[in-house]
Amino acid sequence: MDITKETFTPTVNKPVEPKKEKIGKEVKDESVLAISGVAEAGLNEGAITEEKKGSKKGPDKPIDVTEAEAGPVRPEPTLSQETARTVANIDSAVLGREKAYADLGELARKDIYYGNDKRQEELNARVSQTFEMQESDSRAYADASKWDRFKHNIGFGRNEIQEVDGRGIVDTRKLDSTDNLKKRDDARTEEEKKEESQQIADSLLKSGVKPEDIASLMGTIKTSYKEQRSSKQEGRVVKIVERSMTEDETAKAAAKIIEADLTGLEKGQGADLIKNKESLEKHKESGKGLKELTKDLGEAATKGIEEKMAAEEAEKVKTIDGQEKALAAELNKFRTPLEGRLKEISDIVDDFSTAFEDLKIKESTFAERVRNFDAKIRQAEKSGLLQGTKEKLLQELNTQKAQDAVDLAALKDKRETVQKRLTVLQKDKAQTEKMLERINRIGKTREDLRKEQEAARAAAEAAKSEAEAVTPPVTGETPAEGASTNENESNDSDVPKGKTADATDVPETPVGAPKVGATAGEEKPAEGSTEDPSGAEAEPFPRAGEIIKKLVEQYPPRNIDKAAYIRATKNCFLEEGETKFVPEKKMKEKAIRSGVYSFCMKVLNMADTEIPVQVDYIMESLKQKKEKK
Amino acid sequence: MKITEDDLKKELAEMKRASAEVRAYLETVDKKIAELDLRYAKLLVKDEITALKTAKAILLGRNK
Repeated sequence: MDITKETFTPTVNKPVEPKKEKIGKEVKDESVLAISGVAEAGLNEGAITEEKKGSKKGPDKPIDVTEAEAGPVRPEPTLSQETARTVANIDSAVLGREKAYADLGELARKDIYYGNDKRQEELNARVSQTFEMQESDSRAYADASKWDRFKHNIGFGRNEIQEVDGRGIVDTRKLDSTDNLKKRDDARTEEEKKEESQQIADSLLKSGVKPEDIASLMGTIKTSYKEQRSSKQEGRVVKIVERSMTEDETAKAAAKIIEADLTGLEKGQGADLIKNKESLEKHKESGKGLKELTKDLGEAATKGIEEKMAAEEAEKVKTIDGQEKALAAELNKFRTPLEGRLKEISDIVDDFSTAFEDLKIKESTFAERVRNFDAKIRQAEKSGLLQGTKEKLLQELNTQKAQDAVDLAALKDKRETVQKRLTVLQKDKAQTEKMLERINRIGKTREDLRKEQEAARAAAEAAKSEAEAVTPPVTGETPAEGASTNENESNDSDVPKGKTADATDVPETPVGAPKVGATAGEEKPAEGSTEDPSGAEAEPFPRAGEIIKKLVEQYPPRNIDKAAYIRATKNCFLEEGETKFVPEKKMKEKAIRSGVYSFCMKVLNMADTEIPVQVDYIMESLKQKKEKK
Repeated sequence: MKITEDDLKKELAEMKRASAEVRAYLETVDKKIAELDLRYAKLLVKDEITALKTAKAILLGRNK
């Protein structure tokens, strides 16, 4: 997530510059607000919203077709004040935060470890640097009492026994009560103090601290002295200066903490879980050959062994279940904010992609139009039409040609601007996905991962072949593919048979696709409608399909595309052939194998969310069908 | 087919209109870019609301 290497300075800023003078201090002030912190970002947004409410500029501005007559119009000045203001905000916000957001540090500091005292303490740790003793330092140290020096060196009373500017090493608790300590105020001259500050500042700069951070860091400095105890340097005193970390350093420290935590989970809880899962598999394998091995022992003995094996297996399963839950709770600390981030960044990427595609079309369409226009002018020139008294027309044509060139360049510039942003955002998105993928792998055996990959591949292939086979509907209706009439089909599961109409295979964004959740209650089919052989669309699964689709939008999948994910989820809910629902237990097993367990659970556990009606509907439909059977 | 002065004037008027449309479109693109930039910038700075919501969720249930 390191965006510091990328240029994210919007090229759209360039046109804004001439306007800054007009906007004046207002823009500058907002920029300062934007850079100064998150709360201000919220305020700015409010300000912008207010601007928008009152603004009559932008698209509402009437198009003046006579502008071309006055010469080429550069697109830059057409930027509205509102846009310029927003862009100025963004500049400041982006520039100010780019570096601080190095790697995952910022996310960790603000989200993941928020409220975690131990981690916050680590993040607020101080950086120490060792300095050569100056003459004034030596004096300050020597002025301390023998007892204070001793305590200082062994670290006893660390907060009380420390160097106080101009007073040497003192017991700070006595500062106000001991006259002798007050006398030490004059121990160092102003020049010496200044020299010391300069020495520290130089050292900070050398250690990579930015000049603008020096002043704030100087206020956090604590100094102490340490007598070397090694035989070679026995008695040598060094001065140690401690300071708080800068934002950059904090971000890097947070990234290190995240890394350490994840590695810890991989090698600790994750590794233990894998070990137990493998042990369970071995246990199951050994159970398979049990009958053969115990055939001579008699029925009672065999039964006893089988019971013991079953009990052991149940114990192992219970342990694994507990470990999985504990690990999931730990991983969710990382996963939840990352998933939120991925969702948000995916939305922005999608919007930029749309803008990019639109710009490409506009650019090529306009370029074609300009070529035709130029051809007409050449034709007129050749035919002699523009000779003689047509000077005014000729001038207008030339002016328009120049304007066309400016417009084309502006379109190209905007396309490149958007493309540049897409590159940065896609890289950011890929890194977030990579991190999520890493989290997703923790605690999984090779077999788990192999099955997940297999399921994802199969789902992707199925989705691909279906996409090729099915013409995308443009009416907004979901297709009724997969409907069947298998009412008489034998079924040994605890789930009733029924026809299903698969609504999950609609293209991701069909034109006018129905909005899930908006009219859930209204769309709920009447009871009994599922018995109508021609009413495949009214079957319950289309609703489940919509829920899945909706949830896929809310929780975008990692590694595989959305259609494949929808497909994989749907497969968990349906028997092979997609003619009936599977029992819940089997659904869960399939979900685990397919690597979409948590997602399937989301589908079932949406009762407390915004679309409970549909989920209730699925479960109700299942119940009704079961009762009918 | 021979081009006439009227044809040319008509062509010029259409071109002017197209040009003006492009400029208006570019302005909307600027706004769109600005809006998306703001969203991304806000994502980066984790503005107060998002940060607090996420942090609160973590504090309430997911953080030890």
